[in-house]
Amino acid sequence: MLFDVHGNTSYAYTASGTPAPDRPAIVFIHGAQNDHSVWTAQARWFAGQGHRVLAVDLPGHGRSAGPALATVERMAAWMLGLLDAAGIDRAVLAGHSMGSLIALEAAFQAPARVLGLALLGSTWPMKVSDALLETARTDKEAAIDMVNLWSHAGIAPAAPGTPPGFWVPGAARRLMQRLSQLNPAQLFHTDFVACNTYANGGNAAAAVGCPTLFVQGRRDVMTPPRSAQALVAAIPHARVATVDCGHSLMTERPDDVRTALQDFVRGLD
Amino acid sequence: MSGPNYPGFTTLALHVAAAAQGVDPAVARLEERVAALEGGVAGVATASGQAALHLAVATLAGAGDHVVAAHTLRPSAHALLAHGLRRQGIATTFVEPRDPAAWQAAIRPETRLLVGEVLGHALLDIPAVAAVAHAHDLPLLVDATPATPWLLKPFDHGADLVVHGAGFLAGLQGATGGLLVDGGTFDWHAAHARTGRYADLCALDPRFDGRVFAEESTVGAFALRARAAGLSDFGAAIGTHDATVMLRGLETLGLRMDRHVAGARLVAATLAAHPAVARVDYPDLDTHPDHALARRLLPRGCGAVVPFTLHGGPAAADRFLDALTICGRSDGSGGARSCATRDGADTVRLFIGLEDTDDLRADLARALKLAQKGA
Repeated sequence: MLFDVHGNTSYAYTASGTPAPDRPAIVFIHGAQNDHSVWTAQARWFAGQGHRVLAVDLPGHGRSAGPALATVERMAAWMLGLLDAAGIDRAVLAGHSMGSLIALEAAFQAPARVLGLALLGSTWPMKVSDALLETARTDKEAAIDMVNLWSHAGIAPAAPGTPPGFWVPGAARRLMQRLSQLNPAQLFHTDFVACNTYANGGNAAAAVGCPTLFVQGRRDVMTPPRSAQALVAAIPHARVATVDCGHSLMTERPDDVRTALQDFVRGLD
Repeated sequence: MSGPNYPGFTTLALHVAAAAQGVDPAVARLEERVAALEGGVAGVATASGQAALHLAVATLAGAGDHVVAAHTLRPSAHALLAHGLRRQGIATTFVEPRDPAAWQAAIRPETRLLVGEVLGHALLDIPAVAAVAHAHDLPLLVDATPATPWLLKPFDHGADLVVHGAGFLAGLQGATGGLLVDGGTFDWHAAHARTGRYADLCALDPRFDGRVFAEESTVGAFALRARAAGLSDFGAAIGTHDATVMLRGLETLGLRMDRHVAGARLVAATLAAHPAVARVDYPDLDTHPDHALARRLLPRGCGAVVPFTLHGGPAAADRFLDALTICGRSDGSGGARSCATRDGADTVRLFIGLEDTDDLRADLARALKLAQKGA
């Protein structure tokens, strides 16, 4: 579905289903060099359960127009603008990687609008190595292959993927390539710099009042669970769920991630 | 029956545990593994290579639509497009695959895809044909059966969809099964926005309860649709045994393909130097017009199929085939045994197996001699 956010066309995948009035809306926010489709398994399931779902394409990613936003703060402001455009007053925000910082910052900017925070593959500070930043700037293809290798517990076909027949790391790689094709203007580098320079994470975490869930990949080397200890400690009421996979949690272990989110959302009532 | 004193235990043990596997694990594993070998995003296993081709075309085209295909497709694929699908309203224009202008000229507003075969009857210049396809917002599908992902990765050169028959993947002549692989390279959403051609992938479909495949998967919409619609409509699914046979075969794919290629190279060179042979159509030979292209696309070798033409016309070809003892007489490929078959009036197609190459060459030399003698 297309929305007008701050004058730019913005897309969010809404899946199909009939929203029930008593179920909270859930907004899914993807990470760097990704789009809404990394959330399809979870978004479809929650839509089927009567939740209104929006799996967004951030500006400059996939079907959303405009240049990619350069800071997490501006992405969060855009996110809140999308809620306005969609007529959603309060929602659960589920963010992955860079998207988790956006969710956290949106809760900081507008705490009354966030019913719950689900932070997947998250850490703060979200440092990106100089070598990777430089590769993302100069050689997108190489950066995509590096990140894709590091984002999965294993690159070889392992357990039969979901949906059936899908080779998950291969689909992730093509998605990143497609996003570069659609937006040749340094998308990966812009996203990485936004992660790397987001400074308000400490304040935002200290201010979180809503229920919060961390979902961590046990074998995640992009945002290792160990690196997130400070962030997790800053939100003392947060719960932590661990899944046996790498950084691409939603596509590597769609059912486990969905179950963790399901328990979290059910607990909000 | 004895068992734990738990109500319904026997029923649980008999039926519930088995039904827990909704998707056949061997089939799903095969699909994922071949998708990975090709560097694509998803595979759909089918009952045969022919079923994979049919599934691919039927996923993108319906009555009134049009396909452009190489006239050099293997005979059964050619027949499917020329006759089987034409009866259902899908027209095909066949073109000379070596001529990019011919592909271009055959494209119409109703065209939905381009179809070629990577190797076998002619070497397909995948980058050139893919460029024509993409300039017209069309995907390129290639039958890569004779090459296998060991020798060629069509997606790296611009193809968008790949089909395989089971032969070489399983390593058994006559193995049953096929694969359709989605490379995830073609942007259906953008092509549909410009041309309106791919509503089945990009628009809301009442059949699927409001699902839009190109929204669910930015890169795997084709595979989702092929499975949800085509595989279920036509029922040409693979059986679990055949999938297991192919999975086992894949373990030795590299070993076998290297041996097929080594044998085919020797045989091609031997034939090319033989006075009874007019022409050898194996692109690995220096003298072949596609040699440079073959080096570029197929650095590991040009596969196991060696077509050649004898002096002396159809009668000589028949005498040659009759004289073979080690080589079998059929057109099945992929197995350990070499085979030969007639292709047109005076051309013989050799499918080189895994035999001792000295024995194989001795058999061919003897048959060539007998073919000449009768002249």
